[in-house]
Amino acid sequence: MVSTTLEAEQELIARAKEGDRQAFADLVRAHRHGVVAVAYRLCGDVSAAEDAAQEAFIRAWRGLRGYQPRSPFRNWLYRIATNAALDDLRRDRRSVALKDEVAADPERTPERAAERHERSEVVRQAVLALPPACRSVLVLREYEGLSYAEIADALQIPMGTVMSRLNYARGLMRRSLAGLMEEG
Amino acid sequence: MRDEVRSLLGAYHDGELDERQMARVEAHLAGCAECRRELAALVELGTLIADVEATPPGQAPERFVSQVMLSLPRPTAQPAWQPLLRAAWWSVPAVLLLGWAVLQTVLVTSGLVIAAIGTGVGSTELAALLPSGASLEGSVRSAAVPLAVLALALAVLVALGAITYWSWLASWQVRSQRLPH
Repeated sequence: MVSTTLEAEQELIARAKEGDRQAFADLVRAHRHGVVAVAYRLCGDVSAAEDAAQEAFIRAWRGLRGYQPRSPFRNWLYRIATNAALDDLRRDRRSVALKDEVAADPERTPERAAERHERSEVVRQAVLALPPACRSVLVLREYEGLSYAEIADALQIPMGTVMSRLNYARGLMRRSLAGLMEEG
Repeated sequence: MRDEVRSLLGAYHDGELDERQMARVEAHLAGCAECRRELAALVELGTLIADVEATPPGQAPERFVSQVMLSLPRPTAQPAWQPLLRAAWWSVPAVLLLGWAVLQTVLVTSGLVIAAIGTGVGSTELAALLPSGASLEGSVRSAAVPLAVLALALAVLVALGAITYWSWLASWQVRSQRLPH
C-alpha cells in the first residue's frame, strides 16, 4: 500500500494540478482503498462501489483546481465519492430491493445471526436500508473514523446536521438490529 | 434536561463534546439510570456496526489505477499563448547576456580611452573626435565626475543583471527537476 506523508501528498497534489498525470496516479493509489470502502458501505455492491470510486477519481481530476489545501485531501475525495455513490444509487433501483429484503425476510432471526458472517450481513443490510443522507454520515463516522468536523467538511453540511443525522441513523439502526442487541 | 442529554449521548460516546458539555453529561449520568442504559446501548451498537467483514476484494489495485488513468480526459491542446510565454521566459537570459556584453564593451572602451589619454597614445585621433575648442585633458577632467557616476551606475547594473541571471538559472533548475520526462 502506498503511504504518503502530508507534505509529500501536498507536493503530489500541486504537481497533479499542473497536469502531472503520474502524480495523480500516485494519489489514486494512495486513496483507492478508502474511497472504494466508503462507496461499498454506501451502495452495498463491490463492482458498483468500484464504478462509483472510478467516477469519483475522474471527477476529482477534473475538479482539482477547485481543491484548496486548507482542508484535507482525503475529506475532499470522500465528498466526491459519497456523491458519486449516491448518484449511482439514485439511477439504479437496486437499493429499493435491498430494503424490502431486510424488512420482509423472517429468516433473519437472532438465532441464525449467531455466526459472524450472518450478523455481518444483517448489519450491512441495515446500513444500506438507511436513508442516503444519514447513511453517508454513519459510514464516514463508523467506518472511516472521521470526526464530526471532518464529516461536516466532507459533506458540506453544518456540524449540527451531522449530529442530528447521526442520532437519527443510530436510532434506526437500533430498531433494525434490536434482535442482535442485548441492551436493546 | 434529559432529552438534551440524550441528544448529546452520541457525541459524548464519540468524544466530540467540549469539557463543559462532557462534565454536564457525566453529572447527569451519575444520577440517571435510563441514560446510562442508553449509553450502554450506544456502545454496543457501535461495536456491532464496526464488527463487519472487510470490504470484499474487487479489482487488483493496479488494474483499478490504470482504468482510472485511461478514463481521464485527453490532455487538451496547449493554448496559443503558452509558446509565447515560454519564449519570453527564455529571452530573459538572452537579453541579460546581450546587456552584459554591451556594458562590458562600454566599460572596456572607456577604460581604453582614458588609458590612451593618460599615456598620450592616439591623442590626435581622439582630439579630432572632440568638438572644436575643447581640449583632451580638459575634457577628461570635466568628465571625471560624470564618468565616475557612469562607472558606478554601470557596476550597479552589472550586479543587478548578475542577480537576475542567477535567479533565472535557479528557477530553471527547479523547473527542470519538477517537470515529468
